[in-house]
Amino acid sequence: MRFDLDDDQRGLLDAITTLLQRHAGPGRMRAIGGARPSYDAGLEAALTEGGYLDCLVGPDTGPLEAALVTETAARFLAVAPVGVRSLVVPALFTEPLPSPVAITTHDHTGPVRYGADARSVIVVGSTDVRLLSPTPSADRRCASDYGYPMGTIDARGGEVIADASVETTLAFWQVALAAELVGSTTAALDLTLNYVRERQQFGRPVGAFQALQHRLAEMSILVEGSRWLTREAAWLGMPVEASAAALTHAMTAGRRIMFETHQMTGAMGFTTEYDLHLSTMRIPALLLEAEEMISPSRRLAAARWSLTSS
Amino acid sequence: MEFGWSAEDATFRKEINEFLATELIDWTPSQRQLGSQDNVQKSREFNAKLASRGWLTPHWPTEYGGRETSPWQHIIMGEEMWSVGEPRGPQYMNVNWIGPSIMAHGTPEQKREHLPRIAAGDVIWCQGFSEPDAGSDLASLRTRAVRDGSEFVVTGRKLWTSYASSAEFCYLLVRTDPEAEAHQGISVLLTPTSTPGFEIRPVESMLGDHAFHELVFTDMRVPDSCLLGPENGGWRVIREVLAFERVGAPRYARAALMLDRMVALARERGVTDSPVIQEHVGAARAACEAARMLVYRVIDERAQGLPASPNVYRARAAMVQAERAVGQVAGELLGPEGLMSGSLADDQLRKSMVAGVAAGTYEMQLNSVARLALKLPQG
Repeated sequence: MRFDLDDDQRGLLDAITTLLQRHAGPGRMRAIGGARPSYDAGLEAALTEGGYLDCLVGPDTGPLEAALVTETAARFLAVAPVGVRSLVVPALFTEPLPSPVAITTHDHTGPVRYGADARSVIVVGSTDVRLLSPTPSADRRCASDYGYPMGTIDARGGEVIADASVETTLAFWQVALAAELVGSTTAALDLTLNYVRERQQFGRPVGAFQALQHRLAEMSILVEGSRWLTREAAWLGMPVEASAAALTHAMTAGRRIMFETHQMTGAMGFTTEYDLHLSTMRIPALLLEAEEMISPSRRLAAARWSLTSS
Repeated sequence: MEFGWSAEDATFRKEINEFLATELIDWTPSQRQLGSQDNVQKSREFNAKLASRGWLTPHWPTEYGGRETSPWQHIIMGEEMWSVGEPRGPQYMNVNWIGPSIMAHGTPEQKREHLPRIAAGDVIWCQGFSEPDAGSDLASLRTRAVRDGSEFVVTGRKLWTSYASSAEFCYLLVRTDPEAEAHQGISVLLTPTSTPGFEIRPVESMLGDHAFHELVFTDMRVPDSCLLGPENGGWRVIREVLAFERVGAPRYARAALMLDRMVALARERGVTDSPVIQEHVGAARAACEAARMLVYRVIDERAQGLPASPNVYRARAAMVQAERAVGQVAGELLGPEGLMSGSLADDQLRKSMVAGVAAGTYEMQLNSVARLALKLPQG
């Protein structure tokens, strides 16, 4: 067991970080619409070209590297479906799908991330997993300020993906979501830590007050716990129980960080001029997507203790 | 980065499991019996068996009775022991930090006297840290030791000392220089509890019999051969000790075990159909798992020979969160029966309540995370 990156992993993360610094981040997200962004086809093309989205089945990489890529892309506010491309698509298909790819459930109603732009949609049903190939349409675009391009999808029809198990697909989707939550909560917490170190009130930095310090410490413990659970679940090949545990904990972290980082940043945090909302507004979207089908904590309870509801 | 166990470590865990399955058939630990004479006696017998297999101190150097296994085998041992309720009793303290502290700072005589006994599992120690007026602010301790030739004359009181009534030795913190700055005038005395002037009084508590004691020292004469580390230099010695203590006991393993047991019981009674309960037990399990990974991160640093990092405090606080999460679902799972003395829920509630107080309060851990890991400014 080793918690530090090996040379190959460090090389991969250094390279993708350089790419994301150039093609993603708060400046790029603002340029394509801020909290209501457009799908960043250029970024996805650059990530694809660099081979960063194929780590799951790479010769020297695997699920852990795919999760690390997803976490890093989320930290840099990538407006492209990196989680699904990295962790779900390569598990189900040997050939690339037309981009962008959205994922949803058979009984979903309301906005879906990348729903209006999607050329491929993976639909997780109760007994099968299907692939839809819609035509992108601006008519399906939803007005939503939750950090992703949102659109509706008609999840009927499509082709059943042979040999795709619902359980496995859900587990891979859960790890992708956990990694995205870890990236988003890390971005929000880092920004807030910088803010409270600088912001002066009552003649001292607000971060010197223990009332904030303890809450920030608790948040960092939740985020770090989620980070390592997610990486471990990925490394293990995304077993149902470990995947659900990682997402359950990442959701606990997300709920806390969404409110607390805004609380500590005060009115400044609500301005569009400040970067905080770019990461925090994504958290509710990820939390709701995580509750699709059955909540991760109940999936965890079912996997560990065979608990079900009649 | 990878999260697998080496074949050697996996085999080690399997062997311990097989051993425990036969050794502990009739053993049902209870939080309330923690420091009872009966429990302590059982743990002595159990530890002798562990020691005979080289399993009491596997991570120690061979010259002190260990096998120089990696820190991973130490935590594997801890997990398996805490998963069955910690049959080593107070020995985990000796093994985790009292022994290593003597290895690091002891004289050859002290090492000869104490380490073989700890490695053999036939000695019990208690820790004389807290005082009536020195809890979280440990450096304000006032138990006074005045040098008189080759002896120290000790006067003062210690409080909340676990296992004192069974212990042969006390790892005692005393103030040897009252004029020095608080952290500078402290020394460590490895004191036999049989020393004249060493009085032990039980303190009744809701944590069960013999959980706490008050120690009273009246003109107790301790030879300076008992001094561990430099005179007046004890603070540095115990800072290292505290880093070991904070993640030495994998409490998440015990909390996870309690959760498993309570869910099994609740399922038999049909209570676990409730989606709300399922949500809560799932979240509690995830909290135990998160604590496990944060502890593993610290063990990895140790295995790589890195100095102690602030991750220790995150790990410790995460264990408290896990204990509390399990404590909170205990009542939901077992209902009013949880109010019965000695029930699983009763045990877990008490364990959760004390988790954030023992071995450095939860708030002290958060202070350290804020200051050392998050680099937040001092207030």
